[in-house]
Amino acid sequence: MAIEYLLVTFPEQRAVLADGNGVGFTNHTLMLPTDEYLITLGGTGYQPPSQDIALSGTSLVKPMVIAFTLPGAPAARPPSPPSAPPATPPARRGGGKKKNA
Amino acid sequence: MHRGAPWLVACLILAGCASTHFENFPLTSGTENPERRAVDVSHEERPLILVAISGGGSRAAALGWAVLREVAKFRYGAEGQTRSLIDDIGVVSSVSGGSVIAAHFALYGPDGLERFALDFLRPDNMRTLGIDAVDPITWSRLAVTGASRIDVVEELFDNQLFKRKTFFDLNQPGKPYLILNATDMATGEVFAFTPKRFDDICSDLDKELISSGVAASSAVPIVLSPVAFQNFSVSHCQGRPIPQWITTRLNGRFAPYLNLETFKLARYANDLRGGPNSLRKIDYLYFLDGGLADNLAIHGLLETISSPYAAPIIGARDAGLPSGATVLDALNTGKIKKLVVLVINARADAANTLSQSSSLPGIVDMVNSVTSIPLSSTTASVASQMEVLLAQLNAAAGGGGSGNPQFTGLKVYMVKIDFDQFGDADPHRRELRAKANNIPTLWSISQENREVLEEAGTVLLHQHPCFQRLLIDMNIPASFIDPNFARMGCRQSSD
Repeated sequence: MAIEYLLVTFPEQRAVLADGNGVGFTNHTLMLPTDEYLITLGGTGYQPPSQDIALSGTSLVKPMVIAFTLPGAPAARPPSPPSAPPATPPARRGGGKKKNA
Repeated sequence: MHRGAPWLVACLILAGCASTHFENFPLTSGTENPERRAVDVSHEERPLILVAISGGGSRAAALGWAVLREVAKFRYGAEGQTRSLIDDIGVVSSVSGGSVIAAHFALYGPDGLERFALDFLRPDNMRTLGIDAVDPITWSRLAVTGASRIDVVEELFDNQLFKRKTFFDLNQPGKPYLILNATDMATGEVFAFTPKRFDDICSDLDKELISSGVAASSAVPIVLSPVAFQNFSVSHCQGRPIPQWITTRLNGRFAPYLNLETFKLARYANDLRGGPNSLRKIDYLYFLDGGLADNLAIHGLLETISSPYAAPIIGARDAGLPSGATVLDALNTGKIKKLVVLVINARADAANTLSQSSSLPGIVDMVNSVTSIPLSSTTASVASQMEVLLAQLNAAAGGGGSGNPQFTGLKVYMVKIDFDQFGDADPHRRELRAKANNIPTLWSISQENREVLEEAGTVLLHQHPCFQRLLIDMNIPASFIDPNFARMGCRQSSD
């Protein structure tokens, strides 16, 4: 059983529902088994009404990202996956310029 | 000719003519089985412990009992109170012999463990069953009521342990979520005695005797008869909507390719509900030992942890979640910080002389291989699915991901107890392993064998690196802890 990663964006915090079952909140990456899902949000006042996704091939640093918007807002372009936090740069080895005392 | 012989012959003839005794009851049309249990995850320091107890007759019941007793001894301070680890058991899944202790624990809690030993582990249950088997009154009653051999076993469970209590008594706030697993004889699917599954067959779980569920989980094929149910979906729940998760899977373009296992589960649920385009027409169900499909009872835990469609057992109010939530929901929202999966495997590996004999094995040996090898193989496959799932959860918890996941920092502990973990170095432990492996699969257990399992359960639990790691992380002192062994043998991605 493989675990995938899904990020659902929306201007407000809402429950994310997979086939009508709550799986977490918007704007936070979620874990879900590899599968096809019909994604909706809790409450009303969002568009599109649902999104059918085939969730596979994701990773923690590259989740699938889908967007819902408020009614009347322009349809969202598929957002770029948010970047992972920058890696800690490696420590400099000897050979660099020394500061003057 | 013996005086009782004509009587016995008459009863056998009657038994052949009697109708099947179906053991379930229909739901009132338009209703669903409620879920009243609610695991409290509002206290971050508390782990969520899920337990699976394997099959193996009284050997499994005794090993499960011994491990639960041992877990109860470990206590920690929480918000000014002292709490036992056993209070953090939120889910128990079981098959066969494991179901006897699992159901008893779910019903009576830790306070019932001593009574379980008195009521089930000490009596000679095989003698009771043997007496019933030749009692003319029992035979005539079976013949007249349409009952069968499994009903004698079910009566044993009810008379000695469950006293006519039903799943209504189990499905109450404060009690752990119990998953008693049987095998659907026609399809080979796992059939769990849970509210959602009983919804699928439009059957009232509140009215079901606990002893019926334990018997179904323990119905060893051929030796015992299956437990029989009617499917009331068509007769009593005609026209109800099919749940979204089923229709998405069956109508989706990608579902059969991305997750065939869940697709098959959706199809089975659709068949049980008499939904559109059913693959099978299921009017009756016959349940055999749950160990045929999964002798470690891990299926139930896999679904509980990772499925969006699992039982909503997380207390919504306590979790600050919109409604009764699943474990997956609680993991994704960061409400669970320590997840413990405790698998108690009582599989015995009794010595046989097959590999030391030059004589060609006979039919008995072949039948034994045909039944035991696939069972072990299926069980091993399911066990590895759990290991993979927990490894993925552990990896995900390490952080470094994008999208601000709330499951960062989750700690995952897989404590799998198995007689093979004794090792060969210590002579006493080798002897303990040999004794445990040779305990037969029966409904009775001798005092000597009980003591072997008590010691085995304690040793195996204490020596497991993930159990030691859990104690370290919860600041629970214990003399047997080896911190380096625990940290190396149970690495957390947050380390």
